[in-house]
Amino acid sequence: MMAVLRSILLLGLGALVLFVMQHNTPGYGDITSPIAIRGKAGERVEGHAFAYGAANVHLARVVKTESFGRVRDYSSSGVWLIIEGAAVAKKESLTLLSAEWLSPGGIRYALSQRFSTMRGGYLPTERLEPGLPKPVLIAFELPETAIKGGRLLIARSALTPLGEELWIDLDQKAQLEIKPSITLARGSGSMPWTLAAK
Amino acid sequence: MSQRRLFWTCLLALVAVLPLAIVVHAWDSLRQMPVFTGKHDIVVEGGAVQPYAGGQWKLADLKRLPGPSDEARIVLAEFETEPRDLAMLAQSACRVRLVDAEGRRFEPLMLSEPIVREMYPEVADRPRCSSLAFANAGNGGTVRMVESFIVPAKASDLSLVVEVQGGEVGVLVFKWKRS
Repeated sequence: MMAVLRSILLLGLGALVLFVMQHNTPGYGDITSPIAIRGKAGERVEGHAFAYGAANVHLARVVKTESFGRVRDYSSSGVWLIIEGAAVAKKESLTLLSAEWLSPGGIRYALSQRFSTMRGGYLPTERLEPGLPKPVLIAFELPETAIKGGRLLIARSALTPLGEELWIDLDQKAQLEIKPSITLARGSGSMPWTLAAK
Repeated sequence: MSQRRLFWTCLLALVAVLPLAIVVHAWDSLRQMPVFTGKHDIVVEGGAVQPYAGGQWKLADLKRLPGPSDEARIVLAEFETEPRDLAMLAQSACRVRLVDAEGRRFEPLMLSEPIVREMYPEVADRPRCSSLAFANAGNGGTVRMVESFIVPAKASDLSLVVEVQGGEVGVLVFKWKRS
């Protein structure tokens, strides 16, 4: 009788261990996911291959771009999040192809592709050279609820297993006002753009 | 065979089989390692002629030009090769990089900066290092090439690294001490 009971207990324990393992074992994607390097907006966040610093954060309902006297309006059903910053390569020339916004609910938003016509300054179009910091612009189109408590993720590529990814938290205390519109125009000299909020 | 002996035999076999399985799985990657391929870098002084990957290579000049900002400089690398095996060169991919004293690696610019055309118009129109440059070369002629880079103003002890992929040796490194 005791032997039967012991067998049932062992069987139950085995099933429990398997159940826990099934629900806790990380998948291939988790095991090979990028290694996070945490930082805050307003400071230089250092990776091994590159560094990035987010300087100014803007929110707007509409983004206007000005190029050769032509103005284009980019409206959104959500809110535009525009981040001005600077990036630099450290060991070799590279382009930062992956920038995502991680909402507090865990949803990842890709970088907006609507500015693909904008020349100069947009993060995935800028090649970075070692030791030469470059101003870069990042734009996301987000639901309003995805902004507060969210996080900027920057990596060399979204597909590199065990690559490094900067996780940059915005200042949680700063009250960001949503402006009716932001105008991006061509800059001069070392700044590829100028930004004016209305 | 007794049960105890079988146990120890299997345990020892496991110790041998596990590393063997890893080696077999990674064999293709291991074969690419320089220690197995026998490839080594060839280091020469700028201005010297060096046989490499089916040609006689020479770094003719490495000029520093003003950059887009005070902190940056444009580096113009003029190099050439006299093909000995034109077919091999025309079929191989050519990769060029600039390396400084800190080991930082700079890739060539896709488009040459306007200042290059302004200061050295005759050089700006030369081909970049690619199979196309060799495909258009005649037999016995010298293929003159140019690549431009953007580097920090303080970058020193620059070396031009030429790699013809698919060759039997490693990369060709031209040390340039004059700038």
